[in-house]
Amino acid sequence: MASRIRKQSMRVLVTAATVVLLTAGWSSDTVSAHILESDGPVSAVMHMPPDDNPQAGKPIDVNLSFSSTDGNFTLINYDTKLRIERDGQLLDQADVTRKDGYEREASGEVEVAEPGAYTLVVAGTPQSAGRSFTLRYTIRVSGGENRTRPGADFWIINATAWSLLGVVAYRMVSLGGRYRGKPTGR
Amino acid sequence: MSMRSTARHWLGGIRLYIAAGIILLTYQLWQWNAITYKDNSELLASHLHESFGWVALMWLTAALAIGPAYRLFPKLPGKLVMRDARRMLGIGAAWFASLHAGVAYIVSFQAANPLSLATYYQKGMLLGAIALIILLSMAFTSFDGAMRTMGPWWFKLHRLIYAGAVIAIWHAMSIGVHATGIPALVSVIGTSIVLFVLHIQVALRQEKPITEMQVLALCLVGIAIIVLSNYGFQLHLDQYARGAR
Ligand code: HEM
Repeated sequence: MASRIRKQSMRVLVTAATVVLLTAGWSSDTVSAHILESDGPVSAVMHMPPDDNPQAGKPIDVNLSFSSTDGNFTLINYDTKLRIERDGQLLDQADVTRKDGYEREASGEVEVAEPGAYTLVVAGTPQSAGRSFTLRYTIRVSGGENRTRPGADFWIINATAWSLLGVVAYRMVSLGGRYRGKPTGR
Repeated sequence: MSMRSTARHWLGGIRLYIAAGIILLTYQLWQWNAITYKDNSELLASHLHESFGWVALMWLTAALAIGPAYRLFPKLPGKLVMRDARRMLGIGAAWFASLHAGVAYIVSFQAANPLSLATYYQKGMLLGAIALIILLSMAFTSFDGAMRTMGPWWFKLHRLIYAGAVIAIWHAMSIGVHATGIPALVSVIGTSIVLFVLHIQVALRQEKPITEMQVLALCLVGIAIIVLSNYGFQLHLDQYARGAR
């Protein structure tokens, strides 16, 4: 009886845990793979179209969707700048411009020459009274198409290594007889 | 066992050659990426950890497919060899997943304090860490000695492989750059469905009656595949919409 109850409670636990995990994942990320950062009441989701994979030497289009726990936040009241930095050193900056007809959607464009890890900084200063905000996003800029394809020698050496391994394995396993009298694939 | 018979045991078994294959593949992936991205260490690190991540998923798939494949098609050749190979394939999956996590976290993220990372990365990495713990705990207990000592708990622990696979896919979709592209989505979801159908067929054809636990596990995995497919395609559509904007 006790073991039956234990089994049943295990089952209920497993089911509940799985449902909770799945629902949490489903509801939290489905709408967006963007990155959200906050400073006090102000938050913004950052996205770099089309695939969040910026390239060195090309303009990086940064889209920002702002929100605020204050409710009455609007970008009109702020002077907002976008900076890109590495190890605290400023590499490029631009104005963050509001999209036509939107109060909380904006974008800016910066560029860096080298691939690597950078910090995007979005800084807003209120035009009259209010609190300024600074949002920081770590991004990885890749190097575009500067890649070298491995030559024929790479493929020949590797194909030979695999063939050798295959032949040795087949011979040794057949000779070793560990699976003798039982189906070994022959 | 004497030295000689130990050597004969290992040389005549398949696991040694799979271990050699793991080392060879690791070296080749490193070399391929090192040649391709020789001028850019940042790109080299990110492509290297992505390759290791995908290979880990592939090895996990192979380990999951062997059991049901041989139960459904008992005439397939090499049954005992492949059954013996299965545990080493699991170790391979754990090995590649560890390399993936190590390069991603230590090289690409410069071992940053996880608490200081954006929530997007925190969530993705937490899922990855859970999947990795599952794979490693299975790898470390994949020896005959552990099986004898742990008794029925060994089987319970090793059934976690299904949870490990689901969480690894969830992790890849939530954080990976390529995992929500159409080719990756179609292959990952297609393979999951094939594996799921194989497992259902095995359960339906087994001699002893299907247990409640089996039904529950199959239902949960089925739901997980539906939810993950929806999640992956939603992310894909979302990225497409943003790109087209
Ligand atoms: C602590 C553990 C882990 C960490 C820190 C980690 C980290 C990461 C990161 C940072 C990415 C994003 C890569 C990118 O696209 O730029 C990623 C993607 C991925 N991970 Fe992991 N991971 C972990 C465990 C695992 C495990 C256990 C598996 C598989 C068994 C796995 C498979 C993948 C795959 C398939 C991708 C997608 C790569 C792509 O989109 O090209 N990861 N992981």
